[in-house]
Amino acid sequence: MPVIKVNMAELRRMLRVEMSDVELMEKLPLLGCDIEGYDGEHLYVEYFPNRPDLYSVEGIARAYRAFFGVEPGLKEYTAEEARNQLLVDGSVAGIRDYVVACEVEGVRLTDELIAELMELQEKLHWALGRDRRKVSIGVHDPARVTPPYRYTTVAPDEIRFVPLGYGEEMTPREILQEHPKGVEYGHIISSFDRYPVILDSRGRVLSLPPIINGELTRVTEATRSFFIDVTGTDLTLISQALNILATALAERGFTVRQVEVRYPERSLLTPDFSPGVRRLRVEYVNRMLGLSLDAEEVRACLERMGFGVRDEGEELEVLVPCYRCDIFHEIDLVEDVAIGYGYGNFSSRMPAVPTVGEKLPLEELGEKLRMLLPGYGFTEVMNLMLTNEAESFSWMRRTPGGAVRIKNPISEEHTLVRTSLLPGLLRTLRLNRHHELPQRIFELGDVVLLSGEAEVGAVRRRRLAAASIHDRASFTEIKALVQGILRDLGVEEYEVVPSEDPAFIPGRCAALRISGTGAGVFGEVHPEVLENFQLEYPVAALELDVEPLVQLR
Amino acid sequence: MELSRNEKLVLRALGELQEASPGEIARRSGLGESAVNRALYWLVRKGLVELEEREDSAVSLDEEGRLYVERGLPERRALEYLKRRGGEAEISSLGEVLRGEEVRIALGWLRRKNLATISKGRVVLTEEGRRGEPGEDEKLLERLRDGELLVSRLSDAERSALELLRSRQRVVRVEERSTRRARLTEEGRRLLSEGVELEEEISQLTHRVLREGSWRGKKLRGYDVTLPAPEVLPAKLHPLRIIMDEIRSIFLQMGFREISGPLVESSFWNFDALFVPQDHPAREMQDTFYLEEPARAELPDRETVEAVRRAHECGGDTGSTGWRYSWSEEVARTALLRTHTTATTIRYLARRQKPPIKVFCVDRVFRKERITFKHLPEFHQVEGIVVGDVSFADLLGLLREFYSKMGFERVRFRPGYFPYTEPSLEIEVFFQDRGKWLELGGAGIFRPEVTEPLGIRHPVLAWGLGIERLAMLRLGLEDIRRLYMSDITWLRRAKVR
Repeated sequence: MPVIKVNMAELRRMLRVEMSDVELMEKLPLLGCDIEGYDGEHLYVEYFPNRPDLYSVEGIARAYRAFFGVEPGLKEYTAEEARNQLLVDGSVAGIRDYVVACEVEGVRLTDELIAELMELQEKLHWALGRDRRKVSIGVHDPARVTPPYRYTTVAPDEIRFVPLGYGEEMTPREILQEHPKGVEYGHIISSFDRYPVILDSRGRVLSLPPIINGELTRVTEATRSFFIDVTGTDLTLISQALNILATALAERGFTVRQVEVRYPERSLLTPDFSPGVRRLRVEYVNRMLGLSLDAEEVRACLERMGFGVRDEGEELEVLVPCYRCDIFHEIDLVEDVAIGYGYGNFSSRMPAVPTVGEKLPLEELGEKLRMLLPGYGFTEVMNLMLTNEAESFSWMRRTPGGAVRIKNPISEEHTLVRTSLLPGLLRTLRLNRHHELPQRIFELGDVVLLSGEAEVGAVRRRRLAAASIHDRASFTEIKALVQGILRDLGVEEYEVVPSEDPAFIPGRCAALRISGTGAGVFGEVHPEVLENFQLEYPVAALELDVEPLVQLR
Repeated sequence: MELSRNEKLVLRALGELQEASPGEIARRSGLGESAVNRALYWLVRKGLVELEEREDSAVSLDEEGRLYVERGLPERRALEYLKRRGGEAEISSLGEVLRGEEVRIALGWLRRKNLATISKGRVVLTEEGRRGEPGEDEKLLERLRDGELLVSRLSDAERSALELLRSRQRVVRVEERSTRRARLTEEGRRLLSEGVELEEEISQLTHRVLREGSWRGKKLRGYDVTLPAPEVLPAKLHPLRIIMDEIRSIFLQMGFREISGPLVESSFWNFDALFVPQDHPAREMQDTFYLEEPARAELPDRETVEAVRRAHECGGDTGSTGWRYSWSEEVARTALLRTHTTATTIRYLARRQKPPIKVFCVDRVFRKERITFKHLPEFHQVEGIVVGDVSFADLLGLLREFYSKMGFERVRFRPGYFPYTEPSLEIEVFFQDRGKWLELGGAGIFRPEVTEPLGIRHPVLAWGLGIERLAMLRLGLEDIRRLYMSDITWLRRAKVR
């Protein structure tokens, strides 16, 4: 999640409140954020991805001015009447369908402000734009270009221009192949045979969205006005992004002017700062929150959250600020009422939901097994379920197969989900091979086995595995444990038959059978397996299925 | 004062010897040297004996020296021979009693010790030679026959003799030695003068002693009960398991039913049913483990799938705007390793059981994380849900109850964000040990876009937390890997609280 670097002095000035840094740090989270750090001058604060309007110090100050009661209710912004046009060519359809734009006048910039502006842009690209796929923003100094602007497409080699930060002209194709931003974001448009561009009236390139702007419209400290374009695949999202950016600039005291965006079949005046309208039932608020607020109290809570409230009565008409993009449903307003009310101000109560607690039978048996095993001298270990081919199969002398395999593993160590607990126990013994012997360990855990019949293509099975390592570890020791556990659980009907699990020494390996089906294996681990796990003492081990034992009870 | 039999024996020996090394005490008392050392340790602790550690040199016989002790020094053998021959003889005749080199050595020393003179090939004894009394060096050699001597304890004459012997090759050897000398303290002498009585003692009560009753009338030696005993470690449950069982028991006490669900899960239950849009960052390949085999999972019934699709695309009948995109069934079918236990609770809810419902799940989840001291690709979550005529205030009340049962009296709530809950909150608890508030879990009410497509008409309260984080805080652990790549001794030593 994005971390915003907030200059505390600047925030205080914009908030217009007298508060110490410590006090501010205590109060900011009440609106919803995590404070990541504080260096005495700057605060590093993380706001949630549903509130990109809080990704700038201007946006933060606006929210808390309402929250602290300095300036509650809907903040109204005005945009001056459009002077210029952005003409949208039909060829962008299906490639990057939408664009909105605005002009900003009276701009006064410092290096720090330019950096903050770029930060906000990048964070909007991430949160709303899904890394520029759905939204990308271009901020330009229009001094050297001439409107009207055109949003159109070109063939990859059709034009040449100097991309931002480069000294020479390149074609769009070259930019996608060579420019760092082209390499990073080129995949968004590279599958099309024409790329979107924004040109001025004389064909000069402002930008190649969503990749890079032209050097021609670079913003510097000398810049006195902006032309801002936002392109993307969703008109609502790009409008929200433009509103967040443009209102932040308006908060700086700059003048925002609309641009007429002419699509082939319609015309839009953007940005549109008019609020959205949503209805909110007071009864719904109280039912969801467990409060008994009247309309006036709900209105006060909403105003602390920057909403306008027009109607009073059983149903409120809520004016949603143009920069809020997280209001999907009435419930989203309810949350804002709760935050405006203060999570700390709710009185606690216990729900009247009468139910009886109940353990899962498998877990209940697990509790019994965990009671027994330490009594036999075995210490519980827990291993990761992710493992690899070598450890699961070849080191165990077992035939590969039946395992769930990861498509995007993070390392070669973890490419599949375990099908047996035994390799994990041997791995633990290897880790402990320099410690005193004997060592006796057990694990009660799950394995996952491919299964064509299961809805998800695999089933999980609970297993109990135990291993004992010392100079005299033997089949007898482990068989005694198997017999002991079965006796303790009251399992009387079972068979022990010779088995040929290649992980064990032939002739010193047995299978447990309950009601005629296999329920586990035990014996002395094969010396080759021991060698693979770098163990220099004999190991006797068991691995039993737990489910059949549950069914017997 | 309680004294053991051995201590008394050592005390007595020291009374006789005044000052002695452990070896000397051993010879006098008849105890073994290690028994003497143990007794001395206790006597010193009891203030009856003082020990002095001293750096010293010890002199002992070397190769030639041992031969000389048997046969006499070459000059002595020459002198005796000359005496037998009336006090003088040809040099060459010395070969009868001396071998090779020894002739030259004997002549040198006879002259040096002024025992004989040599002129014109003949050796003639002097007056002193005729008397032939043993020299200091020879006396010292004789003393060394019984073993090494400490240089510090030699007389002046012996020290000069030692110098003489050291000027010869391989006769004596002098080595650095640190020695301990024991001596009675004032208190020790007083106790000894009052007389110590030796009585028979029993140190270890045995089967035989008990059967024979031979302990009667004897003293059972007392121990120093303040001494540390060796560490003994039990076989034990895993500390994580202990915490999980504790959490399970809290839920059970609060009337919750335990549930479980698949680890291999469809994207549908893990994400789509929870209103997580298909292009959400959490669904990307760098955050979630997708599967090569099985690559696909089955979707539930048509009706449920369509309801979820419409919730995503346009909000369906919920009154929501939805995410406004074209939802893909193929994406929903993709199989993955469950990233949260909410996949299991939502599956459970989809069976449309009637409220009241209170269920919980403590189980393993997977995230695509590199293994570091603070991250693992798999960990455990606990999750609880309540369905009924309940509200946000009930959720906060439940959380206070739950966390107080977990031992956290100070709990506070902060707004939070999860794609599938609204309102959402984060839970912070005050950790006394660290003196600060730490985030420990999230909660919220399931969004209508989650519940309504599944036919759930009541609010669903949900909360969860990661167990490893709690375990690390409780165990004071800095490295999460300890929990899964465990040192057995660490496990056996881990606290169970």
